[in-house]
Amino acid sequence: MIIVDHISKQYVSNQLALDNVSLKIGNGVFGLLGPNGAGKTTLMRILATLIAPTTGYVSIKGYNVLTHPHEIRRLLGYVPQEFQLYPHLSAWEFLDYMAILSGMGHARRGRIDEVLHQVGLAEYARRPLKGFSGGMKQRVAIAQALLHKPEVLIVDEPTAGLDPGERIRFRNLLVELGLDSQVLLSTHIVSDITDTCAHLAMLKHGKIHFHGAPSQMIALASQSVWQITVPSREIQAFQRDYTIVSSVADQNRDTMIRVRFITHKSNVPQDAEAVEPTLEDAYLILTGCED
Amino acid sequence: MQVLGIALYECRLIIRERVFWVLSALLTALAWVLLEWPLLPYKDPFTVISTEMKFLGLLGSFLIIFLVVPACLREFQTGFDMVWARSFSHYSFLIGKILGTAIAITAAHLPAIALLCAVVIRFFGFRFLTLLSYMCGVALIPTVAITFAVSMLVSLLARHRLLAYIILIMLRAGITTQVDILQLGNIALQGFYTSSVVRFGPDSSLVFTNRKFYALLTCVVLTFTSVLFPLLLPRRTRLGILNLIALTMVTLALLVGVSQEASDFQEAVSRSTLRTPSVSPAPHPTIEVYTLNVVVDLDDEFISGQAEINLHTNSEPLSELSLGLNPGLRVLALEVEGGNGYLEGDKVLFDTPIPSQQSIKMILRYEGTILVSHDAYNSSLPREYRSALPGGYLGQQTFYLTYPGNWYPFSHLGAPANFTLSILGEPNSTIVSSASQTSLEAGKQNFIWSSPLPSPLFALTESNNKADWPNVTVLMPPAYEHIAHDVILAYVDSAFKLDQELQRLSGQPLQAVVLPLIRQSLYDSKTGTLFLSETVFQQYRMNFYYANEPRQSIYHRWATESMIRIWWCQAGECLPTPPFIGFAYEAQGDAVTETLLSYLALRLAEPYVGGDFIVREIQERITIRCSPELYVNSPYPYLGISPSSSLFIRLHRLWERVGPEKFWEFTGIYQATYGKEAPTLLEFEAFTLSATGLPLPAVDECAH
Repeated sequence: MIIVDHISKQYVSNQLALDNVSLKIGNGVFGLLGPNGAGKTTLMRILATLIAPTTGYVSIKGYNVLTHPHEIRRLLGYVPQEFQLYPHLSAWEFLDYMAILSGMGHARRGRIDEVLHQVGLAEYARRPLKGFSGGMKQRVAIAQALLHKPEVLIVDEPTAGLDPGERIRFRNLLVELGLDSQVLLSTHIVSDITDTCAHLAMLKHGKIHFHGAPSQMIALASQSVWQITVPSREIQAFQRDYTIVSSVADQNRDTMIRVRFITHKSNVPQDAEAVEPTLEDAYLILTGCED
Repeated sequence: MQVLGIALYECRLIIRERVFWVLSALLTALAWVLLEWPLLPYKDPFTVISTEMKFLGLLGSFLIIFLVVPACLREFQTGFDMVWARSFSHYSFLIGKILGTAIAITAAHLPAIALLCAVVIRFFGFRFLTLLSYMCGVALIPTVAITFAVSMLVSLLARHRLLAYIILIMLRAGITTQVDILQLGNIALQGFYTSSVVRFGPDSSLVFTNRKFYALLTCVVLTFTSVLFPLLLPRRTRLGILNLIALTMVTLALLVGVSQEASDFQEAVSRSTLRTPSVSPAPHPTIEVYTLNVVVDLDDEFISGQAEINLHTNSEPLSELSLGLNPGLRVLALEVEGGNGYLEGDKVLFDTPIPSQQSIKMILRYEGTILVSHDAYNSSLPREYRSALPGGYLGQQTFYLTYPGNWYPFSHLGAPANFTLSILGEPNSTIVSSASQTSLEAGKQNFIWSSPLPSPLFALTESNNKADWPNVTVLMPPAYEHIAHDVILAYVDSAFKLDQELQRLSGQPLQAVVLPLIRQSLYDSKTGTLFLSETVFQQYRMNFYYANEPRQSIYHRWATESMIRIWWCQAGECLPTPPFIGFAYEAQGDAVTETLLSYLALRLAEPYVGGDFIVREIQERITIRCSPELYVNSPYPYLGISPSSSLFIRLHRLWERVGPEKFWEFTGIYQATYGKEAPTLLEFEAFTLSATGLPLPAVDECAH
């Protein structure tokens, strides 16, 4: 169990990155959703014992992050949003070094091969990291977090550089890991959450705007998502009045566009029909529409 | 294990950086250039190795800044959160980082050191690898270590690569303006060069005090870094208060050690920069009887003595008398019979001046140690700048007492007629002396001399490197282990025999001697004691391409050059021993006297080097005179065209015509005529004609 109790984080520049945030995170994959600058990475770094909250209390598996950082690091796997690898080391060597830093003994060698296989880099194990693509580097970063079989895995924007295939594979991996451990997934890609998380929280401007199951969040968007087909020449004017979620050219009529949009029930144009909301719609409502 | 793993990867990360290979290549190139390959066969290993170590330390320490700073700050850049989120102890990380960087720095130096090893083995032999490792330990490693430690600390404090470079380079530049450039290479307070270990002065303890100081300082900086390290980490760190307290205590303890060492070092330096005490001017009384008993305790580096002296005043009354004792010696008691004398500073004062033509007797007991100015024996320093203190040196491993010396009172008045020396210490120490009666008591060796005291008085060392010698046994100082014993013995042999020979010629004992004790060409300007110089020997070897001559022959050749000048100095103008054969100081104009002395030196060496050696040198001089183009690559290409070289050949022709006895007689007349003022070549030609009845033979025309 991860307990985040009324924590705030104010940087030296007086920027308030987190404002009285409270969360309780149980087993399984937990999603942390929010736009850029919402405070997700700050919260992740506090959980990863890299920075301390200004106020509040955080514990992971019963260990206070302020008083027992070393114990927490033993339990923790962390994939930061931005990272550097050692370009002159091979993937295997890099993981070996990380395993040494985690205090793993000789057993680490077998484990390195295992995680390399897990992230699909077994055949590139001996190649220097400087020749790796962005996606491959991302997979190495994920591999290093899995090395010591962490009880808590914190992943910050992990799928940003991955192609669709890799992304799907990674999501599956997270779900698999979530069976035995706690996984905290921070992202602004809604589909990652949709497909993996049983619970999520949404951060915006350093505050929790939602905490619950994805279905509960989707429910927030019911009777708010609509669909209509408008002439293409009117799309600009339509965009001024409504929040467009998506727009697709009508396959049967070249001059017409089918638009999916968000608006309050009282403001729905004639001919618009209600559609089932998705998590992305709910996310947009919580982040943009409310404003 | 974790520390070793971190060290391994730290080292691997550094070695795979381009800067490592550039640094290593630069160090190797530097080592290569400093070797001066064309001259290498003529150089001595001391010069080669010490030069390499000095400059590798000097430039290498600049270069390693560019290796240490990026390595130190690598994980402090953004993007290394995945490292800091791991559960390692920061002390393990720091120690691993220090260890890994140290290994990488060592690896960067390896090609240069390997090159040096190869050169040393090829040109000087395996045994000099010991010297190489010793100099490495004394000069290179402490320099690199302190630079490494300071670079780490500054990098961590600056947390910015460029800023760290600027601070470190400014630090080095600041030191440059404060100390000598060679000291800069080793961030030394006074430089470790103030010692015989690395060529200057006999006080080797300076080196070790200095090195201990820097070793401690390195520990202080590294410990201080580890105290600060947890506070500087880019992750939340729970400080172990006990660890911090322990580290702070260790740092403070080391700081106390550093300040103690610094104070010891300063004290040693100030002791070694003593000035010669003033000696009161005339009138000097005459010694009637002088009996001296001296006990030297090697273990405590302590000397104690009792002098009984009967003086007879001259035409003027005597109101004061300088003791002339070494400042390290203090008077315990003074008894004066025949006057009311008391001690004030370095003088004996008389309440009532002793009337002229009257005798007094003084008994004086004294003890202490012998302090030696660090520049007293540095022949590279102009004589007027040397604060020479005669008397020699007393240490646990070596002592030598020169004659006359300030190790006994009133040495400026004359030498004791009866002298007993007792040595406390390891009885395997052995005296080098001429004609002394010796006896051995338990833990004590006694030596008794009666007037006149021998010129080469004695040189004693503690060592097991015994070599038998008729009448004397020579013990090699540890510094001389690399030199073949037979060479030293040959040298001592020539020094002793020349002493006897020149005493016979001049009718008086030499007042100065040549002793094979110290590496550098060291010279006690007051006593005229000149110490064997490996460097000068090498210069002799280079000149006239003596490279193929046996080492012993060149020692003899150099010894005779030194001794003949000392002999000449007693009656005529003092001429310094030339730095190499054939060299004449410009101040001598036509250099007639210098050339004559040089020729006499060659002749004095004949019994030791053989007639063929003389023939070869003369032939070489003829060749170099007629075909200077063959010597363009010589270190001294101008020697062949110097007028002295022609005169040397002409003197040789004269020797062959008049014979040895007549030539020595001719030399005596020349000394009486021109002892104080050298003639021109024309005057010398006229003098030769009048003194020998023969014209100075012309030099042969070159056949082109």
